Amino acid sequence: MLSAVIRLKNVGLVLDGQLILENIQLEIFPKQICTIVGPNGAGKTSLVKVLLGLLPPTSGVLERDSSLRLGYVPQKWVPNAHMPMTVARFLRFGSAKVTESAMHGALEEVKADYLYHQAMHRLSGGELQRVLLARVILQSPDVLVLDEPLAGVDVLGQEEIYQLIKHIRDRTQCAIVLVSHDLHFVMASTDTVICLNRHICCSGHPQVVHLDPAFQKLFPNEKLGEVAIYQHAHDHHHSLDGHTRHADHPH
Amino acid sequence: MPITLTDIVFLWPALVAGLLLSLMMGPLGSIVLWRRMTFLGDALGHSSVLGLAIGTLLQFSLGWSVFITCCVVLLLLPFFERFKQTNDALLGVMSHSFLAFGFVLIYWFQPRQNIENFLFGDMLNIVPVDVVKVGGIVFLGAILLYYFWQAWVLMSVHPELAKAEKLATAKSEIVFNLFLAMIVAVSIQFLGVLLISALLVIPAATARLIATTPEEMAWRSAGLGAIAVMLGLFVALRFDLPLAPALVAVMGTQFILVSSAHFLSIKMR
Repeated sequence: MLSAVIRLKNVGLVLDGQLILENIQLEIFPKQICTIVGPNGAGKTSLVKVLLGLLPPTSGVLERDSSLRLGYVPQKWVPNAHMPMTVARFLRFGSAKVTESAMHGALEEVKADYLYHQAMHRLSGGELQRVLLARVILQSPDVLVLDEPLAGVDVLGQEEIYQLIKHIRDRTQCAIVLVSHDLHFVMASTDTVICLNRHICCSGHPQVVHLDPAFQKLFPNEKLGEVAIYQHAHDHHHSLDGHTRHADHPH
Repeated sequence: MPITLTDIVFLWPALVAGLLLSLMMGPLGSIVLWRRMTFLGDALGHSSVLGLAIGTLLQFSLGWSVFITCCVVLLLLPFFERFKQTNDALLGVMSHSFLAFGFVLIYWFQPRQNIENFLFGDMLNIVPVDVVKVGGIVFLGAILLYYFWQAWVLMSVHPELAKAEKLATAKSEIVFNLFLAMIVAVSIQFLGVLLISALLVIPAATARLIATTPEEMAWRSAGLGAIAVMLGLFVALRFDLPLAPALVAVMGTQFILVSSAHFLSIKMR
């Protein structure tokens, strides 16, 4: 296996006197998809910001090559309506020399070429995600971080966004870090699932649910090719005061 | 009163300085709007009174003392954020207290100082040396705009995206603040405390209605500002009005006309 491009060793994060993350060990490998799941307030976005270098860890180390190119698709972004911005102009950010045909090509790959002249603040949630992904295709980063890319996308579009993410991984060979608040259903192509609740509760490989004959019998017409189920293996409880207790039986 | 050749000879420094400043205010004002920093423009303008007062009392360069005051305001902002105040509240507090401190200082030590020039500026007394000074600052500003424009625009689009992708850094943020302080300092003596943020905000707000990209907005805002400077000078001279209010009144009219046309074109569609 190739060596990790980002490595977190014993990382802890305290913001405004509040413990947000503790004892995080995490390695991001090239071409692999890592999905971070966890309840609200688990520190998923903070972890992503540490990975991106936006928040310096309070303790522990972040190892990252300084030449590493990062792509970021932020969570719940609403484009600023005070700023006139067409999709074409937006795609040119960070890659000034990009040609018009390359931009059309990238938009076609995400099936959004019809948005070329559209104003950014008029896009729907799903259209915005496509445009952000088209920009990622043009940038071709080494690591792509997507913070809840399915938020604001309707159910039919979600499967397609997953397919696009997989397509980007296959095409640009980048590592992908994906944040999701859904604890049980993750992207099927995920290599590692990290379950986060301030610390890493458990991690592992998801089970590809749509191949399961029992599932196919139950939902013969469901198009869930890109969704897998993740079985948690926790060995501790979280009490309401934030402390963890070791459990006798994993659940 | 008809305009004569003597008037034009007398007015050219004001015209050139005004045109140069309005060109700079276009892109700068656009960024101020995008980043929802209109209160900051106000706060810098108002705090300049303190700078002008200190400069006058110490017989120190007014430009530098305003620049330093503006830098102090910009430095205090992140510091005071720790006291759980919103940016708007902090800017309101600073803007009005610095204005008051400035006036108190002036009245205390030099009760006979004419403060009207502080409020409305003194554009007609611009001399050729001032034009050279303004030209130098605008030239420096143009270089900064060339190098930092992409970073500043992306900072306005999404600050964290810009930082994560290393397209903007803490440096580009600091340079923007210094640039803003510099333009406020150089224009405050001509435009006055009350009207300086109008020059930043109004042409940019008008340009927003007729632009589809950030660059278009910046250029059109600069163009609208330049037209307003020329019309404002003409109106002020023709009807014997104070220049700065005439200038801002022209800009206000531009906004009303463009937004009415914009509204009608949407209705007609």
